[in-house]
Amino acid sequence: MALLEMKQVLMRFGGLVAVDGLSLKVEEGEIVSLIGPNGAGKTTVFNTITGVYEITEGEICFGGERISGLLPREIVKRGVSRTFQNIRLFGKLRVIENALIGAHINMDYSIPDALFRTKKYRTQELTLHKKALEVLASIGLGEYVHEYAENLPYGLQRRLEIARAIMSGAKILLLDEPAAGMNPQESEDLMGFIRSLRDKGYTILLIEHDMNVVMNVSDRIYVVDYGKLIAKGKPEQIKNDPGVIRAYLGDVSEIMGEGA
Amino acid sequence: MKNRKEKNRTENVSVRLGMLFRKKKAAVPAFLLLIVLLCLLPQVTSLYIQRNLIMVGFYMVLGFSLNFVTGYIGEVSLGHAAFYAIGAFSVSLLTTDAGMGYWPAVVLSVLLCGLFGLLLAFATMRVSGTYLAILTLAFFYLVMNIIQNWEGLTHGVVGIYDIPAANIFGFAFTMKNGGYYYCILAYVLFSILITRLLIGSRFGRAMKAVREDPLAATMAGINNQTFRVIAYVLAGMLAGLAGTLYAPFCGYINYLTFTYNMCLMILVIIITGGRGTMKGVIVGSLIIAPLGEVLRGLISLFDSLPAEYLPDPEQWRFVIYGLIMVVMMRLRPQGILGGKSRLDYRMPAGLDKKEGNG
Amino acid sequence: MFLEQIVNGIAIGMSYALVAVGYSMVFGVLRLINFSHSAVFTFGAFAVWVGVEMLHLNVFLAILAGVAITGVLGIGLNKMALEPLRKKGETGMPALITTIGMSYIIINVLTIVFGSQMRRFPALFNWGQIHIFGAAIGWQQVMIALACLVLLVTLSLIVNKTKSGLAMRAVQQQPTAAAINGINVNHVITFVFFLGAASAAIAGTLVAAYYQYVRPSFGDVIGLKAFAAAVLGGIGSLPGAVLGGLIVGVVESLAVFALGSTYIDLVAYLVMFAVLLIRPTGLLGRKGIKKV
Repeated sequence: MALLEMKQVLMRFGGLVAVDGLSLKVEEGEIVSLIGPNGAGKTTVFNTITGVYEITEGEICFGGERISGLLPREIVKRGVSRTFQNIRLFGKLRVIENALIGAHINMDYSIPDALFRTKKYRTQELTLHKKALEVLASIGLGEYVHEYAENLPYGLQRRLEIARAIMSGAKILLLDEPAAGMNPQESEDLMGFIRSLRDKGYTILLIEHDMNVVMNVSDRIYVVDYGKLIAKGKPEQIKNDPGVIRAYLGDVSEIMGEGA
Repeated sequence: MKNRKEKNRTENVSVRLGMLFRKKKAAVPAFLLLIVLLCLLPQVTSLYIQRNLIMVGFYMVLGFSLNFVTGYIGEVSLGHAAFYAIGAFSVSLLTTDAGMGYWPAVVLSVLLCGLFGLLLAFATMRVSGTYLAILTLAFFYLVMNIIQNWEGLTHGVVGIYDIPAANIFGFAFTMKNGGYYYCILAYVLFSILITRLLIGSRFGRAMKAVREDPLAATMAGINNQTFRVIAYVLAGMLAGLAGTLYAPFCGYINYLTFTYNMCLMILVIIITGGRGTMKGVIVGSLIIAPLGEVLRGLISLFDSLPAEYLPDPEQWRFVIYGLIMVVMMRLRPQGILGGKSRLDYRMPAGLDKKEGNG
Repeated sequence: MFLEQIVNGIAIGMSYALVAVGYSMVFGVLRLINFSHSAVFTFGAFAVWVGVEMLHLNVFLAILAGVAITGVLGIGLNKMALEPLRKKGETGMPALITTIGMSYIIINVLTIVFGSQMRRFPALFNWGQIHIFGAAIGWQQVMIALACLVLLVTLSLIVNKTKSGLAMRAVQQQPTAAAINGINVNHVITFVFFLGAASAAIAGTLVAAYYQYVRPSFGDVIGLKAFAAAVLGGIGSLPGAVLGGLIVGVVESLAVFALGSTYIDLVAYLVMFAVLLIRPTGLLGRKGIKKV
């Protein structure tokens, strides 16, 4: 059974069909990429999975249970966490606070617990502070824990978004263009980091424009255009798929002549 | 890391002071000394000064109350005096018409205010920004309109006379014996404590997350409405608590006791000091609450002039509040003491020192 | 009685609509609800009052001058307080608090200058009554409703048929694209603030003539009711503002008829709470897709 499965998902905004009968499967422990030209509907796919948009038709399941129709916060609790294409950090809060907010669903002490600083409060806070420091250190933010999120450089803000998503204890991470705005060295590091996440047991669904990253880390790739699936397969297959090349570059034979 | 250490050496006095207060050895005695000084204050000051201090105290509690909504949840409430009024009227009616003892009446009134807070949070759950500000203003008018017109309950425009003095174990509060002063001082300390404990927990973090980015908060699994409700209920209860002391302090209240000006003053307090900070509320109320008296004092310096040439301090006070709002937003929207702290984040006790320093 | 109340409701409702349109226009271009609009409305009524009662000007000249001055006030508020904030990108809470502060300044300066008591305002259309179906209807009410109607049609023509209106609509849709296409966005915003303030001044004059008094607190409740009207109709929609205004005005008049005048103000507030709880986009407003 797939960990995450979209079955014939249709997402319509008025007359516009943003996701058109898309089916997609992510197995546990996989790194799967979702690629496609600008405006192909990739982020919309993330929004349907995480419950930001209510899908028009179809079904989305996570761990065999239907999650479409649930509220975003309920979906997070099931173990689906995401990052945002246009970074959405809590800018005026500190790095560690951002990470701790990511762990919100893992705390359940009550208001009286907080007011009387009970053992439950102290244990949970201590455990999650430790975890936050650990996660931040592992993602290269160890020396910035006290810093305010909006003061971080762009690349580090992207990492903090990932750290926040990890802190929720999710099983699957939906990363929306994590390499955007990174230099080659940074995206190289990012690849290593994504692989290490998989080794720690996370499953990853990735939207990315940086083909170097996509081709190197993905186990499988889905290609969408105009909300429709146009190809799927292993990186080598996708690289040579004429449909994919056409979607990205237009009709190549027209540009390059017969030989292409 | 090195960079950070170097910065530490050149940091200014305020940071050093802050660091000092974080060290238990220094903070505890300093805090106790401050409390002792505050307790001695009514013994050495005139009743006039004491009265003003009490008013500062009331506004400080109201400021802490509004800070939950405007400072931490990030929603501008223009009707905060409604809770103050509900607390005051409720305690007055319970102790006069219902003949209840003071403290049971306080408890009931505070609970009632919490209920109204819940109601307001629920009624405004789908809006934000100006919509919300205007709804809270409508809430204020609604409450005041009912207080003014429901004669059978609130005595209508006549108001409530002869509200019995607040008392503890039969010891009645007066200005002379400092009862009101000590009681409001206790309420201020209580507000500080409750803010401190709550904001340093997951509840405070969640509230701030809702303020910074409601959608990202939702995606972190936070139920935004839960934390809005907590903030509104707490704010309602705290403002109501202030009201339950204000009514016996005044001895007489009617529907004109609580005004839009009051609502705005509470807002100006936290804007001036810095919304979402505790020191901001304290400093804000110290500056804003006595402003009327300060103006009156300034104007009385010119009392050789004929009265009709002298400005009315009451009205000018309000113009100044308006100017403060406009000018602060232009020059320092985070408030005098708001914005980012230059101190490090406080790690919970028990965390290994090395880890804490990252 | 019933018919008279309906006519009263329509007259006052059309005035609400005129104020509501001001909220809508500014919201349209700036996505900002101008909290100081009700204070501008009061200022407008006072400006006309000064012309008529203090300077003894001809009524129409006084209205013209008052409206022009109020329009300039609208421009001034935008230029002095809001534009600097927009330049800094502070559009959320700082802009809201600024408009709250400005309205507070205006109201309290009016109080300092004119005192807080009621001032008699001339009834502009004191031409007696007409009798229809046995009901005595004041010319005053009929003329106020007609004047509002004419102004609303004029505003709608400006927005929909003129070049400035086209620029306004372009800025509403896509400020950046409008700027790239050579529209001076700041001019458009200035124009909108002028129009909003001027229409508020006219509305202020008509409402003051209806009640035959002004005072500084005059706009507080009416501004809130007009906002209720704008919300009910759907903020940003011109026909919505008219529909909302008429509903609030008529419902209120009928509530007086049925419940007496004590709790009359509550009707509008409760309508507002209900709309913003059940359907925040209003009757004619459209729901946007949130971008993530």
